[in-house]
Parts: sequence; structure tokens; C-alpha cells
Amino acid sequence: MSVSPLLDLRHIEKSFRVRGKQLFAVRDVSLSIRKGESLGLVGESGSGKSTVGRCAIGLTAPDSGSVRLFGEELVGRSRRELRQMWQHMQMVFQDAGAALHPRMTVGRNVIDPLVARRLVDGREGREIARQLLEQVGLNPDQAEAYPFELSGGQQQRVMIARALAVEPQLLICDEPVSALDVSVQAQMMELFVKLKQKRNLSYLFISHNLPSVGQIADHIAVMYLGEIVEVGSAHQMFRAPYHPYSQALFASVLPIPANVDARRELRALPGEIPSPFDLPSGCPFHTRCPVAVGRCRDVRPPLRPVGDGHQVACHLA
Amino acid sequence: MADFVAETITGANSGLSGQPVLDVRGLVVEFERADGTIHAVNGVDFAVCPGEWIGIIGESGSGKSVTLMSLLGLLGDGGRVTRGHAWFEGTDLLQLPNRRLRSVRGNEIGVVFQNLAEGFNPYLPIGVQIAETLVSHRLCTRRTAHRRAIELMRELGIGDAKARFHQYPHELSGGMRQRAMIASAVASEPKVIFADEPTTALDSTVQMQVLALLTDICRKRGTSVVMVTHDLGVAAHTCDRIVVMYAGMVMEEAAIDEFLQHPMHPYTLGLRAASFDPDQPDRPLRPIPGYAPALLEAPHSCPFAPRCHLATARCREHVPALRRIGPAHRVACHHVQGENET
Ligand SMILES: Nc1ncnc2c1ncn2[C@@H]1O[C@H](COP(=O)(O)OP(=O)(O)OP(=O)(O)O)[C@@H](O)[C@H]1O
Ligand SMILES: Nc1ncnc2c1ncn2[C@@H]1O[C@H](COP(=O)(O)OP(=O)(O)O)[C@@H](O)[C@H]1O
Ligand code: SF4
Ligand code: SF4
Ligand SMILES: [Mg+2]
Ligand SMILES: [Mg+2]
Repeated sequence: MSVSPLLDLRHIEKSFRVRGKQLFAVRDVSLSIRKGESLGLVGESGSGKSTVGRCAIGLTAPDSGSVRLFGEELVGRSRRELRQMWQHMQMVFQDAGAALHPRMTVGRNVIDPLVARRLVDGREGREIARQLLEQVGLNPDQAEAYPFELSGGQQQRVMIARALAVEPQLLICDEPVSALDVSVQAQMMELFVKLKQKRNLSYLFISHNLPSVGQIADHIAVMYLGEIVEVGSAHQMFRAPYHPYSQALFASVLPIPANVDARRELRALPGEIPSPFDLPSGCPFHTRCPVAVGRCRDVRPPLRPVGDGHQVACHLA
Repeated sequence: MADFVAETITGANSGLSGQPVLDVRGLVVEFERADGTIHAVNGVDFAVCPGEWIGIIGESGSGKSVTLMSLLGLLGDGGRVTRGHAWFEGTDLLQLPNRRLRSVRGNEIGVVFQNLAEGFNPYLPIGVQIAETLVSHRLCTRRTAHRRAIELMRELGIGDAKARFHQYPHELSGGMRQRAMIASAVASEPKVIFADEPTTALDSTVQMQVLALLTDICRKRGTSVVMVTHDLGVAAHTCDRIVVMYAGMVMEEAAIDEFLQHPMHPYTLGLRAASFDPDQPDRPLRPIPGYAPALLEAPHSCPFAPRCHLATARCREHVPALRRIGPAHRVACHHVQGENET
């Protein structure tokens, strides 16, 4: 067994030019995932989660930094080389309907990655497709159906079956359940957790939906304005996060209290997330932080360890 | 009729008092589609008291939105109310001609949708739309409307309201647009606000801002709210009473404390077991097996029976009636015992 992580991002920077202006999407992000471990990436819309995910797969080239997948550098590879490296890593996106071939049957969709690599013939493929569909909780006979005949949740299952076809070790999921109904979300999360246990799959699980992340992630990284402001165990993150932004973020998932007296007061962060075109000086969170002190406005706090494996970017942590 | 009155739970039982501002009875809504009739709402009743906050919860397709839309005359093509009453200020909303209903909607009943596209005209600046509401409801003159709209936007935490007044809906962030929508919903000082998933599309910290604002402003003005949500934590923290819907029927209705302490219906318990609790992040979730029904026929059994682990032959043959099992609690299940039954 190798000791190098499945995925290792070092100092990723990415900005986009939009209408002549520079938009800072990802700033000095480092993260790594070891075999069998899963990392949740959370944060508000626009905080840079998907951009990190796309860099991790090689779909977006970072401006600087390195991305190592199974120990091999991914930055600068051709599409063809990338496709080779995707053998052991698959992606699942939010919009399953759009990602499936509308004119191929569900079964053919599932084995498409194998057919593309000429790894199976027709008969064998059909059998594999049926097995995979069954593993993701679909009726194997649905192999003959077309994607548009399935519900959103069923289409998402087909996507997962397809991702599993190449027996990946790492699954990168970007908002895989956000478009689904809550009860279907719970069923999908059950499937993800089962696959994690049965196949020892690792996940980079990107979502703004904290409950779903809470179910799959061993570790959670919190992004704000393109930066990771805290990373640590999922357990600690839900119970007592260190960073003032993580505190507000996790407090906004409301529990179901035991009775009326146990209800929490609804407390909200003031203000809005600043523009990614015009980043605040110092700590990116200082414009809204309830405990900010003088130096927060001028000095950007580095991400540093605070014990029990947590790293936090805050002068006060 | 008198029988019905005794059966509905009103605010009196959830600690609030007064005649209901809105009283919905036996509502039935159907949609005609190419593949048949969809029985979206099958005999729903609930009442809303002054200042009361009602939460309607249930999976998607359970008829929550259709219930609200039907009361507003917004069902769209193919949808029609086939039975029921909705008493509001002494008139039955379901009998009103469209023109009159339109004036009730947005005037005496404010509306906050999940889908922002439904709430605003995309071609008019939001400030102008809020000012327009104020003028058309004679809450101020055309001359003062501009200033009042800006005040209202400020009250809802819209920073830089003067500049935002001139912005178009698509130029605002989701959270800002939702605030602006609340501003226009409360502008006419309605007695009731219908809010359909008002925060679902928002990030969780923004959701919290919008919820805090909505509760604050409605409490200050004594406005009643009927809120549709799928988030049990949100419902539990904002509502006085919960109505649980499934397959277009009310499965359970209870005052909030009763709902939190003694949930009874197997479907309600299923929803709770499937919900994430941040206080117990490690508790495995148990999704409800199976899927919501297609509603191609009117219920002739307990609609939840195919997914219910307690289902018996009786459940598969008879529709359970919504029965009172406590002073502030009604349940529709053959296997939940009432107060005087054992
Ligand atoms: N191709 C692009 N061109 C220009 N700007 C982009 C591009 N991709 C992303 N951005 C910008 O980069 C920032 C980060 O975007 P990203 O999609 O990574 O956010 P996210 O955290 O995934 O948000 P969401 O939760 O909404 O998916 C945003 O401000 C976004 O508008
Ligand atoms: N315009 C429509 N035409 C046909 N069927 C509809 C229409 N609107 C809603 N329905 C159906 O009515 C049922 C209830 O829908 P809805 O009230 O939107 O559910 P909820 O709000 O609880 O998610 C669903 O089966 C839905 O497909
Ligand atoms: S560094 Fe300062 S502003 Fe930033 S989170 Fe910490 S206390 Fe708040
Ligand atoms: S009536 Fe029967 S099937 Fe329906 S919820 Fe009760 S026990 Fe379950
Ligand atoms: Mg994204
Ligand atoms: Mg709805």
C-alpha cells in the first residue's frame, strides 16, 4: 500500500477575468484525501467549492499550485492523459439528467465508460450494467429504459452506477443531492454511505447542504471567499467549530428540539458576503465577524493547527 | 358544519386566541392531464388564527403548494377546486370571481414564493414594484411611495436601499431578492402571508437571515403566516402549529409542543427519522422506503400503506379519518388510538 494520498492539492490559486475585471475564485487552497477517507467541502454559493472540485479533476487548470492524483501530477496534462488518470476517479454532478445520453438506454449509459475504453463486449456489458443498477437500488430491468423515463433521483442513481463501472477509489461529487427531494436525498445519502463502507470508496463531497455532508465526511473543509478558513474532523465541526464563520454556518442548521422551550433563538450573521472582485483586506471575514479585532482588518490570518487535527485561519483561534 | 368546527384545531388550543382569520374546509383539488386526473388535494382542512404561524410539511408532491395556490386562484391550466370552502373575512375565497380574488391576493394575503421568478416582474426595478404595491393598496400617496418603499427595504435589512431601489430583480443576490419579496409581501399590511419554501433556495446563513427577518416583522405586525417547508428544523423553530401532509391529505396536525414531544403518525415519525439532526451528527438516517404515490386515483385506502411498516389489511381497505386524539392534536391513522379509545 502506498502512503501518498489519493488526492493532494497544494496552494491552488485560480482567478477568472470577467468583463475585464479579475475575479478571485480560489486562493491558496491545499487539501488532501487519503485512501478510505472522505472530505466534505462546504461554504456558501460562490465561495469556490466547485472550482476546487474542477481543479481536482483537471477540468480547470489552476493559475498556480499542484494537483496530485495517486501521486501523479495532473496539472499540464493533455485531455487524453487525463482520461487515463480518470480510471480510478469518477465524478458525479448535480444535474444527472443533462449528463446522461438521452438516446442511449440506461444500461448502455451505465457501461459507457467501459465501452469507451473497450473493456467489455455487448453481452458481458449488459450483465455488468444489470448488476450495477441493482447495487444502486434500481430494478435491473430498468436497463432497457431511457433516461427521460426516470425520476430525478433514479437518474442520479444511474449516474452513480456509471461512475462505479470503472471501480474507482475516489468519487468527486459536486452537489449530488441538492436538486433532489428531501426523502430522496436521504435515500441517496444512504447509498453513498453504503458504497463508502462496502467498497472502501473515498469521496470529495462538495455541497452547501451541511446535513448531507455530515453523513458522509470524516473531515470537513469550510470555504469563504475562495479560502479554506477551517478544516478538521466532521464530528468537531458540527459540535464546536473554531472559526467564527464556521460557527455561524453550522449554527444555521436548525435541530429538531425536544420541546418548545428547547428552541433556539434565530441568530443571523449580519451583512452579505463581499464581492469576489473586490476582496477585503486582512481577514476575508472581518467585514461580518462578530468578534473582529483591530489587526483583523490589516493582517490576513494564516491557516494553522489548533489541536485535535483542526486547522483554523483566525487570529483569535 | 358545526361538527367540522368542533373538529378543527384552532389557535385556542395552541395558546393563541381569536376567531380564525382563515378557515379551510374539505378542500379538494384536481388536475386534468393527458394521462388522467391527478388527485392533488383530497379533503384538506385547517384554520389559521390571528398572529399564528402554521407550518405545512411533507415530501414533495404531497400537495402543499397546490393547497396554497388553490386558495389564491393560481392553479393554472387544468387545475380546479372541485370541493371545499376557504373562509376569509366572512367570504369564501373559493367562490370569489377571479378579479376579486386577485385583489385579495397581494392585498389581504401576502405571498412569498420559493421561485423568485413568480414573485417579481423581471422588467421593473424592485423598488418601483414595492412602491407600486404601496400605492395600489392606498397605503401612501404616489409622492411618498418612493420614500416609504426605501424605508421598508431598510427595515428588511436591505443595505444601500436607495441604490437598490433602482436595481432589477436579476441584479440582486438570492438573499436580497427574497428580502425584497418579503418587503413587497408585507407592504400592503396583509392579515396572512403565504410563504412557500421561502428560504429553500438560499444558503444556510442567508436562510437564517431571511427567517429571522420574516419572524421578526410578522411578530411585530401580528401577521399570521402559513409556511410550506420540508425542513423540520425550520418548522420547529418558527411555527405554532404543524400540519403534516401526504398524498393531498392531512396526516397529522398538532400544536408545536405536542408535535415535538408526541409525534404520532407513522409518516411523521418516518420524516423525523429521515431528517438530519445537527445535535446528533452521527445518528444514521433512516429514509422512508419507497416513493410518494402518483395520485392517479382518489384515495380509497391509507395512502401511506405501501410504505408503512405498521400497515394491516384495514389500512389497505379504508381511508383513515383525521381524528382528534388530544386537545391540540389530530391524527389520520387506523393504528393510533384516540383520547377516549384504548
Ligand atoms: N468559468 C468562470 N468564469 C468566470 N467566473 C467563474 C467561472 N467559474 C466560477 N467563477 C466564479 O468563481 C467563484 C467561485 O465559483 P464556484 O462555482 O467555485 O463556487 P461554488 O462554491 O461552487 O458555488 P455554488 O455553491 O453556487 O456552486 C464565483 O464567484 C463564480 O462566479
Ligand atoms: N400544473 C399541474 N399540472 C398537473 N399536476 C400538477 C400540477 N401542479 C401540481 N401537480 C401535481 O399535484 C401534486 C401535488 O403537487 P404540489 O402541491 O406541488 O406538491 P408539494 O408542494 O407538496 O411538493 C403532485 O402530484 C404534482 O405533480
Ligand atoms: S481573524 Fe479576526 S475577523 Fe477573521 S475570523 Fe478571526 S476574529 Fe474574525
Ligand atoms: S393507517 Fe395504517 S398504513 Fe396508514 S399510517 Fe396508519 S398504520 Fe400506517
Ligand atoms: Mg458549485
Ligand atoms: Mg411545493
